[in-house]
Amino acid sequence: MTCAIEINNLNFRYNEFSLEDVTMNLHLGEQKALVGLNGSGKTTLFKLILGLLEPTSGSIHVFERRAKRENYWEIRKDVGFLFQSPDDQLFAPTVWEDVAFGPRNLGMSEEEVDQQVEWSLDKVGMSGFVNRPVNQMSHGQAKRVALAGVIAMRPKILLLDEPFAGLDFPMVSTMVDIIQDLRNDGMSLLYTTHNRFFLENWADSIAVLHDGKLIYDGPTESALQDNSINKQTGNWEELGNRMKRYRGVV
Amino acid sequence: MGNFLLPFREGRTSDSRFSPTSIFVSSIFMGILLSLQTQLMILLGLIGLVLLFGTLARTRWRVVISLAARFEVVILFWVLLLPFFYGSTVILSISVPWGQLIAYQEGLEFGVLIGFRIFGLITLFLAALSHMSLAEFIGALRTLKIPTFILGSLLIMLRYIPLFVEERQRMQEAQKLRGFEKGEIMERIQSLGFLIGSIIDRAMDRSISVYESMTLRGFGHGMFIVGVRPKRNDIALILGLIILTLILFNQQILEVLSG
Repeated sequence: MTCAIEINNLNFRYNEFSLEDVTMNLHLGEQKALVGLNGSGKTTLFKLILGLLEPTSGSIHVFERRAKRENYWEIRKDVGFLFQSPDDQLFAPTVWEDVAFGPRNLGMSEEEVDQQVEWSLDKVGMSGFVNRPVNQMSHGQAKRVALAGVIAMRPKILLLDEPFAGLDFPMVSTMVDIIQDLRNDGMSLLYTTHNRFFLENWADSIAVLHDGKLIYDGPTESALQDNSINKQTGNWEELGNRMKRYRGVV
Repeated sequence: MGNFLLPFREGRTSDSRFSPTSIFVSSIFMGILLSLQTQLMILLGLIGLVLLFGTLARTRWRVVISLAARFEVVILFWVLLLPFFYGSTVILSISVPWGQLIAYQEGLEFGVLIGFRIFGLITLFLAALSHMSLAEFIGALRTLKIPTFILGSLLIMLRYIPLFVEERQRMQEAQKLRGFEKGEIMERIQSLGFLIGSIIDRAMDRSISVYESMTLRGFGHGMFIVGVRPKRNDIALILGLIILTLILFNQQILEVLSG
């Protein structure tokens, strides 16, 4: 299988935090979930892939192009990143201006920029919000616009940092459909989640980070049967039983 | 999420009769004319002209004046303070424990003049900005060849200042809920210090995230701000300003022309 992202013996150290000897792959068209407790290094790994941070040692290749300073812009054209909070991503005065930001930086003509903005807003179901100021939207709407801004650059890989955090059920359902639609277009996906539901039902494979170390990278089914991995995703059944006991139900 | 701090119109374009660039340049020109005036009556006449022209242009005065009113302290500062520091004609003398407090007529006149200048300038610029969208304003600055990195910073500043204001409000509410209002004065000062520190800290974090987000989408690789084109009606605006300048400064212009 062709590798979209190939990470080999990656090490990164910053103050007390470190990523140690991480080796993993994201295959073309694959949908992989990156799991781990808070502070395990998930977002740091994303930032290393995108060249926002530089590894201490080891290598990252995106479509066989090594992640290093002179290649960062080419890599960023291929890899889109959706921040956990849309407030961190949306900065332009209106939805149109924000989504057009990436295509304009790609050097497209104004006509092409218009087409790209229209296409990506249509993809996320926000076509009617072209003139809306970015600060006058709900969290779910802002998240979809932020995603439109990312896919307007037509990346081949999407990195999603907690894509469903803070969304209500209808919005989660919509986001799943949007992302599935992008997958059907051939995008590879790497996303972080704390929610076991999105692992069981949505991930082709799972990579688990614990204290900066990769403790599992493989198929979803075998991961979910492994107790050590369950610790990282949380034992929700046991928590549920405990809560019922508190209420005196059990 | 909150509103922008300045009275921009919503959306991408405002459908104004004049181009945003000419509105912006004209307001700067008019601002210079206001700043140069040393006679109160002419200054009031110019402010009246701004109000009249603004009304004809259907300026949203309620929004503009409510924002301008936030500067009342600055205006009052000059009007109330200057009389005690400048002038020779005594208009008021008050005995205070540490001596005499004397107010002078020249200082009062100067304070009123400065106060009206500030009011005129603030009203003028807020009224001008209320006729364009933020995108048009940035586009106008781009047309005036302001460097992209300055515009990028300005854009982020205008976007995020309201967010910081909201954050401050939320944190103050949280403090109130935990009894902040009932604290001693030193505790209040300490809490205020923590509040300011936290806001600066969050501002730093957020600015890093925004910069990273912009970098990932190619900031610095292309031209993300496009200038705005002039409109035919701009000629009328420029002609009007030239005529106003000729009326106000006809004597000085004649003196220069006659050598």
